[in-house]
Amino acid sequence: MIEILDPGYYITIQDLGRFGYSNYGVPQSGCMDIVSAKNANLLLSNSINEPLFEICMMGGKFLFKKEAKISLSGALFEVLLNNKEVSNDLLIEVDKGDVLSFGRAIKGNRIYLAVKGGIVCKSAMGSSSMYRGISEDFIVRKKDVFKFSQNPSNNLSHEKVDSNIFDEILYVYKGPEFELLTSNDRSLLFDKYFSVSSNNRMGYFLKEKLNSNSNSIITSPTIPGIVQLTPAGDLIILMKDGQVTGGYPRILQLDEKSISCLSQKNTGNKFTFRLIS
Amino acid sequence: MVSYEIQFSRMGSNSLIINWPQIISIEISENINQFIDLIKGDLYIEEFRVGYCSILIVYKSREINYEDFCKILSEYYSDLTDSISVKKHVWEIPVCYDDSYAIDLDEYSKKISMSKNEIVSLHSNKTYYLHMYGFIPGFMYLGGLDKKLFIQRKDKPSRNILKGSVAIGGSHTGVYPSNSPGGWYVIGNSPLNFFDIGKKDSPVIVPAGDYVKFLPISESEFKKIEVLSKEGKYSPNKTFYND
Repeated sequence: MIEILDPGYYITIQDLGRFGYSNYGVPQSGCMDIVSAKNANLLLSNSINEPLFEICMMGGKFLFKKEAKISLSGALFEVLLNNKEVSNDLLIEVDKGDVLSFGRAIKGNRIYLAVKGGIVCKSAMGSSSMYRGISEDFIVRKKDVFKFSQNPSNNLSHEKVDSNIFDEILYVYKGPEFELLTSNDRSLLFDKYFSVSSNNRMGYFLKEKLNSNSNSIITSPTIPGIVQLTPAGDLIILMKDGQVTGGYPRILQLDEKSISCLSQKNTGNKFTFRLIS
Repeated sequence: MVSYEIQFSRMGSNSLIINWPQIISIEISENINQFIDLIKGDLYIEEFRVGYCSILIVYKSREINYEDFCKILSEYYSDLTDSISVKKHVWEIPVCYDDSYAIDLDEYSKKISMSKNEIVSLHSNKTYYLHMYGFIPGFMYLGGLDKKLFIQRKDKPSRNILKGSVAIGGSHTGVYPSNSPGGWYVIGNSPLNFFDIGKKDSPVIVPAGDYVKFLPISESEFKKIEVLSKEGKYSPNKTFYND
């Protein structure tokens, strides 16, 4: 069992996501950075859909009440096992009574903590991903206790997915309303650096703007990775907990790996968009 | 069978969008729903999402390429025949329009220069078509609001609109299924639970494609229904819809 001594800034449990319920308005949810989450599970020979902790920005203290094998992947955090520093992308053995504590993110924004066998979670609508109104709780809290599975499902592929999750280039496809953009806005979009103004699991809001415009569309479907343009010229990138429909033009669509890269960015971090031809 | 000119467009590496003529209409929503019924078992489809006049399909791009999949989908569409028309229902959704629940009704009434009684009677006399769910879990996109009730959304969205709030924004009306920020004017509240994953069969009350009518209730009725609804003992009246 794992007991939460300190729930940090924002910790949730996620798997690869909740599929097939968007017709009720249910978002996809799931790990923001799928690349790192998969790596954390693969290091333990877990199945890639095994629920794990997504730890955002800073903090979090976990007490292991039983020995376990764990792994960390994603953002670089200050992480201590008792008083010893531990690093990402390794299999770590912890003993009964050990405390794993997270400081601040040094590079990136989200780190994944996987446990061999996976965290035992009640699944709701086919997924263990936390979301308000669907899972039993929507956030990990102090004194919460989580069990992990004793009989781990062995996964055959052990390969680490190689990818630079700190890339400053986000690869994009043209979105369905790309053609509404003026040529001036198109060049702004691909010539300029953009930076994060704020972010949460629903979306990323960008600081730099395009020109204000009078484009609007009839409410249409959206998926994670869609870049919306508001009439004021603001850019919003929908993420895993993002709404399933929207009325803003969908000008770009992020490549799947680039959704992972974006999840590792925090306020002020810069990036550029590059069109996949 | 009405058939529309539908258009395919690629989105990203594994999604595509099918556009119907860009008009909000019951006929188009019905056509989309019939099409979805036909394709939803297709093995290449991972997930689909529905809008007023378009659908987005995530497909297994490792198993089929975009062009071939579009061909399959067009064939499905040309196979679409009038299904035996399913009897539609009208669901009576109780709403208390009293001041304590209708927090924006005063402001709204001034803005559109209409008395509160008139607003309530216009709003509750109409039958609304449920085009689809979207935005947040259990949010109904209802069509058919009386033009006299149209109003521009608030310039500054409210930070927290209460669960059950019945509101009007733009040319739409709807119910907030959970506490949420929003830019619509709240004119009442319904004691029902519009999204409940504990419910058998479906987490929502009204299936997409059915109709909704708002039934004005008093504050004391509200409190009664609220208790019953929490215990899962209230089911709203429904009647057959007559065209």
